[in-house]
Amino acid sequence: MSARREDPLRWWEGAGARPADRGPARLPVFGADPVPDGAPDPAADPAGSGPPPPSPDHAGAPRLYGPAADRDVAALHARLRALGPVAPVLLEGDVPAWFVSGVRELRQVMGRSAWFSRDHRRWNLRDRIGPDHPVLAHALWAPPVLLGEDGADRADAIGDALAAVEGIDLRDLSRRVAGRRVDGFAAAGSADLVADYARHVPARVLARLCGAREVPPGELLAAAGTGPGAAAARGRLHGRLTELVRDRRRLPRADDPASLLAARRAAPEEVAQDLLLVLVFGQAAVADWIAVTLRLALADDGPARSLAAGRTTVPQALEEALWRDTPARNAVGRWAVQDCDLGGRRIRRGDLLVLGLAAAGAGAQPAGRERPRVFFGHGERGCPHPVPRVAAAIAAAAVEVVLERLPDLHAVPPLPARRSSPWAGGPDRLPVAFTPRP
Amino acid sequence: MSTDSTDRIRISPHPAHQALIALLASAVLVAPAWSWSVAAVGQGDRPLVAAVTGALGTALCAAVAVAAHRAAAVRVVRDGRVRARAADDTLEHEAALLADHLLPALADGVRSGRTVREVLAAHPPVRHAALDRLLRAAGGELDLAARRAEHARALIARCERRITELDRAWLPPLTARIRTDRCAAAEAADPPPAPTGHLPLDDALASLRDHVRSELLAAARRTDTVLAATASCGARLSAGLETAAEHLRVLRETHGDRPEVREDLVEAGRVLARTVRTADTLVTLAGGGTGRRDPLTVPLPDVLRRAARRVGARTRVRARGAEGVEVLGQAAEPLARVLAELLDNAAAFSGPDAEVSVRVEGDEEGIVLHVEDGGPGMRRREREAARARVDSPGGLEVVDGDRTGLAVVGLIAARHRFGVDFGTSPQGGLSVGVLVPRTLVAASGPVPERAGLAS
Repeated sequence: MSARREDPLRWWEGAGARPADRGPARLPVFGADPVPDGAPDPAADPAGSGPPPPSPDHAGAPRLYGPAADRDVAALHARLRALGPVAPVLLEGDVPAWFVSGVRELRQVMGRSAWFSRDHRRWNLRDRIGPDHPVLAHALWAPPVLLGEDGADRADAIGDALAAVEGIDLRDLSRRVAGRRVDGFAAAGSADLVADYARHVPARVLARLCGAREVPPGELLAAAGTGPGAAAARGRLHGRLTELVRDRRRLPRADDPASLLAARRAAPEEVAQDLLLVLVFGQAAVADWIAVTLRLALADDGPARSLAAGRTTVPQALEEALWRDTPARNAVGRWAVQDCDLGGRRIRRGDLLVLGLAAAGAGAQPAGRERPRVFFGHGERGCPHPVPRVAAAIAAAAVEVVLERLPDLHAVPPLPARRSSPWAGGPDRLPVAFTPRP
Repeated sequence: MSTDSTDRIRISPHPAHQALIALLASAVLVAPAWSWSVAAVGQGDRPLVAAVTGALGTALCAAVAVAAHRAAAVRVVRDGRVRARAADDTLEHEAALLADHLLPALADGVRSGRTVREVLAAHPPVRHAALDRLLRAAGGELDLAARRAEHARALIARCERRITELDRAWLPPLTARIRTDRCAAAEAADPPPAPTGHLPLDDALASLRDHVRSELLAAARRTDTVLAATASCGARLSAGLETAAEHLRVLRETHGDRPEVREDLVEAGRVLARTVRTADTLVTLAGGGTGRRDPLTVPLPDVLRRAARRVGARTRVRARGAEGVEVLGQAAEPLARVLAELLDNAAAFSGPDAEVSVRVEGDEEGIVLHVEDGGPGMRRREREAARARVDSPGGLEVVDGDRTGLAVVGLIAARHRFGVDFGTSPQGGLSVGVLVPRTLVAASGPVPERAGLAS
């Protein structure tokens, strides 16, 4: 069903970048397609009859944007939670959506891809939304690479390739990379653990796993970033990775994820695309995870004291950080495939659901109770096994190494606020000081 | 009959030639005689005389020719016999020479590395053609065999060299590299084989090398996996026990004054503290870290209390000279763990209620904590063994059963550059000195008078 697929090779360039050779997609990338809007597509077009009138549920609903939201995301989450496990919310431009913060409801939404699609072309408000609406940037955070017919297969291929890396090798590699990063700033006596450390470690480790060790770190970080040059950097990186895949087809290596992915029967460009996905999304997600965990460890409150007193291990702290301050705070999203009831609300076909992961985590406090995991997605369209394990191994190594190597590491007060965006991300910066070590 | 060379090569005339020559010679003699006799007789007798003498002459010529033929034939036979006898003698002689001298000389010569030509040049030539051919053929074979043997020897030498190289120059650095940095060892490729000629042996050795390498790496990876899993489980165990201990502390604060539970609460705390130490030991021996972190500086009495609490013998420890001393936060936890192991040992070896003392001294190198007991002390060999265990500590893979205390002390001391020494305490028991280097001391505090304590 090619009509439902965007060009998976160009997703990072945003709207309207679909080359003609990818088949007759009638509703390809949101909003900027030359194909007339009225073209019916029973699979993708939810109603076929224009936008529905604003739901009365959303009158006076909390806004998930604006200065109030940026100032205190936690308070906003609390307010939304108070409205129930599924609450009406307004996104930028007062676009109505549903905010899902109940763990049970989240699992339902994430677990049933037949009911709740990741495909934003199902949105019943798509005509009202311009191609550069900020919500779409968040929607693109969920890689549309995995949306197509073979999305699950491709996700499995990524999982299989990463599963080839032995746990101990991944741990050693991560610790080595982390150690080298610490060496880089240990003599200075101060560092920004986000810019100097948390972003570098996963970038280097994932690049090594993907066989792209010769790619300069700066280029990886640029590709994983959100800066103005990110799309161009991704394009360059994709070119390099395509070359890499061709090389690996000629000369496969044992136990090498890149070789395993390259062995798939697909165009090198497509395999490179999957590698890029691992590098870019993996780097961003793990970097944020490391940053929020280090922030948790260096704060002067309960979890930090528990870690310092040896009552919590680093892997437990990583888990705790997800519950307290998950990097992927709210994910856009899922779109209802049909009318349904969820958490006591009537959801209409094509409605947007925002996954309130952070709010769900906060709602599941305090720790110690059994808490279902929702942060890596759920169901067949979740983060493919063993990617969460790989991410956890890299993050644990990074956190352990810096705490071990710089035992008197302490945050330079004031501890930076959490990133203001209600959407994603760990802290932007985490300045620390320590005794310089030659 | 002479056997000289002229005779040997002279060919006896053919009997038919001899007969012809005799016939012609006799005809030359007979023909004038016949002519004369015919001329001598009268005209009338001439036909008769011519006929008769002609017949006689012809007969004579024939007889002479026949005689010559026979004589020549006999000579041919005789010559042949003589020659055959001579050849027999040569053959016998030269065969003996061949068997008794030449072939052994050839074999010896070839074996000692000379060529067949050199050996043969040193001996008289063999005249008998067939024997000569035989000799040369045998020599050729010997030469070939010698060359093959030489080649095989070179090959064996090369094998030995390559194997020695593997054994001495390849394996030790590889195992060392795997031990220090397994990942780097796994990534480093072997150098390509020497360019001087490629042998099937090289393929076999390369395959052997790859196999050994991958097996070594796999074994190291298994060890590392076991150690990492142990460290991780130990850390979880330790964290869980610490959490339980924290709950117990709260319980003691709220219910510690109730006599019916106080004893049990205290005992449970003691058991938990000790078990935390065991879990930490597991983590340390498995190469992990406990993850505990301290403030920038920690007063030494706090460190001592922490150590004593982990032994569950807080009341038996007397510290002197610790007041006012502060260590850096990064040294507090390792020092507490070293002290806990030493206090546990001291408490175990002195009497059930005997006091264990920790005497703190300032030093230009740092501070020294002497853990002293009134136990039996250590004999020289015990002390040497203890020192060896501390000086070259090993992890779980080399630890000696239950005796983990000194291994932990050694590992932590090595990691944090503490010095550890064993001596005799004033009470005659064991005294273990722990030197905390100055770089880890935040405040030295009032240093006690050395003389006052040494007496």
